[in-house]
Amino acid sequence: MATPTAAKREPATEPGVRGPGKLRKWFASAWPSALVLVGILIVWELAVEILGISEFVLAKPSEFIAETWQSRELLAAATWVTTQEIVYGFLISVAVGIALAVLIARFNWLYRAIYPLIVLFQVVPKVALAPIFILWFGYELTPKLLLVVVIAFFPITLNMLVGLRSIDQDLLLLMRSVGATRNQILTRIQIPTSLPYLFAGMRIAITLAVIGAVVAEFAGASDGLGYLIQFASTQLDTPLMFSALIVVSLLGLVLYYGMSLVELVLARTFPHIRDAEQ
Amino acid sequence: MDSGLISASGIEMRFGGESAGQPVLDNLDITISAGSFVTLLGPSGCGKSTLLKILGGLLDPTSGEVAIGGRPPAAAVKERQIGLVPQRPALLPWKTALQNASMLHHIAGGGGKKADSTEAASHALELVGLTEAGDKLPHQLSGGMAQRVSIARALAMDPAILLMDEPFGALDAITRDEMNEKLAEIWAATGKTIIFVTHSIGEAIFLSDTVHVMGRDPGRIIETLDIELERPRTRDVFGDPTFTAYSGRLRDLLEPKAMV
Repeated sequence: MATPTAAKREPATEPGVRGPGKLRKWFASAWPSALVLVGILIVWELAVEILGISEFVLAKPSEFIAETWQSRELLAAATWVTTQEIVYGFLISVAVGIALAVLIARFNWLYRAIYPLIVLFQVVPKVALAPIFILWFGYELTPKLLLVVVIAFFPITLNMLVGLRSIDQDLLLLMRSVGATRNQILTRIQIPTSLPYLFAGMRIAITLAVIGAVVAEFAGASDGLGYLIQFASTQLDTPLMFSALIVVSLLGLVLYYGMSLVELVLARTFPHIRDAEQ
Repeated sequence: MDSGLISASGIEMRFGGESAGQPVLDNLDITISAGSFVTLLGPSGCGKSTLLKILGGLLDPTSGEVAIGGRPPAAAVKERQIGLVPQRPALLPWKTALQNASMLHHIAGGGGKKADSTEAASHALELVGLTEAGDKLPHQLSGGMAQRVSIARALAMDPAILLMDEPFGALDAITRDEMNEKLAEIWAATGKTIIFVTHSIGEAIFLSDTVHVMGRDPGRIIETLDIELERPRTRDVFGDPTFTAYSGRLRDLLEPKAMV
C-alpha cells in the first residue's frame, strides 16, 4: 500500500528539494564562504606578523587557536554553563512568546490592554536591566535566564502574532459557515498557519539569546564564556579573550543550525513551513 | 404556488452602517425553490457575492428579511445546512485532500467520530471523481482538482444548500467546461439546492434552472430568466439555437446602456 502511494506522489514534488540531496547541496553552498574565512585568517596572521602588532592588542589566529587547545577544559566548562543559560532561556522565551501571541490574538481586549505595553517595553534598553536583575537575584542562573527571556521573547511574539492574524478570509468564512468557535479557528487554522512566522521569529530569538546570556555574565557571574572574556580582559590575556569569543560565536552558530534542524523535521508534517521560506 | 426554500425581501446592504453612502444592495427580493439550480449573474461590483452570503446566513443584511425553510438563516447555519464553496479552494496546505475534505464535517459534527468524517469525505471525493487523489497534498493538485476537493469539503456535510462563489473563475476554459459538466452531474445525483455566482453567461445558462441577472449602482436584480433547456445537458448544448437565444438575451441585459 505504502509503496505505490510514494511512487504516485513523486512526480508532483520537485526532485532534489527534499531528501538526502539537500545536505550535499548545503555543503556545496558552504564551501565558498569557508574559503573566504580561511583567507581572512591567513591575512590576519600575516598582518599581525608583518606590522608587528602587540599581542596584547590583537592576537594572531595561530596563537588563539593554540590557546583554545591549551585551555580546552576551562573553555569546555564555561561553554557548558553558557549553553545552559542560552538554551533554557531560549526555551522559556519560546514558551512565553507563543503564549503571549496566542492570548493576544484570541482576546481582543488583551490586544488592546497588553500589546502597546509590550511595544513600549521593547524600547527599554534590555542590556541595562542586567545589573538590576543581578541586584535582585544574585549571581546564580535566574538573572541570566531572565535577561535572555526579556531580550528574546519579543521577536517570537511579534512574528507569531503576524502569523496568527494572516488568516485566509475564505477559510475564515468557511469555518463560520459551519458555526466553528473561535477556539476551533485558532487551533485548527491560525496556529498551524503561523508556524513559518514562528520559526522566523525563533531564528532571530536564538541569536538574541546568545547576546542576552553573555551580557548577563558581563554584569555579574562566576562562570561562563562571557565571564571568561571579562576575566581574560582584566588579566590582559588577549589570546584567551579571542578563544572565548570564537567559542561563543561557534556556539551561537551551532544553536542556530540546531534549530533549523528541528524546523526541517517539523516541515515533514507541515510542508508549508519550508514553502513559505522559498 | 411554490413559496420557496429561501425567501428574501427588501434586502438592503450598506457596508459601514445605515448612513453610509450608496448601498451595495438595494431593496432586493428573491425566492429560491428547493432543489433548484439558481445563478446570480452580473458584472463585478454588483454585489452578487454579498447577496450569496446573505442568502446563506453568513452575512446579516443592513435591513430586510431572509428566511431559510421559514426560519431565520442562523438556524440553518447552526444545523450545518449551508455548504460553502469559495472562489479560491482555500485548502489547508499541511492536510491531504481527504483530510481537507473531512475538516468541515468534523468541525460541524461538534467533535464527533473522526472515522465518520473520513467516511463522509471519501464518499464526497468519490462524488467529485477524486477517489484516487485522496492522499495528495494541495500543492500536488491541479487547480481543477483543488477546486473539486473544495466542493467535496462542502458536500461531505450533506448540506441542503450549496453556496458557490465563482468557483471556476480561475480555471482555464477546458477545465471549466469539465467542471461544469461534473457539477451538473453532482447536482442531479444529490438534489441539492445550489446558488451559484458567476459572471460567465455560458456557465450560467449551462448550469441553471433560473438565472437572476444583477445590475450595479446600486446592486439589484434586473431580470429573472428561466432556462428551459432539456437535462441532462452536455457540451453540445452550446451549439443549440435556444442556448444562443438565451445567450443573446443575457448579453443585452448585461451590456451597459449606451450613453445618450
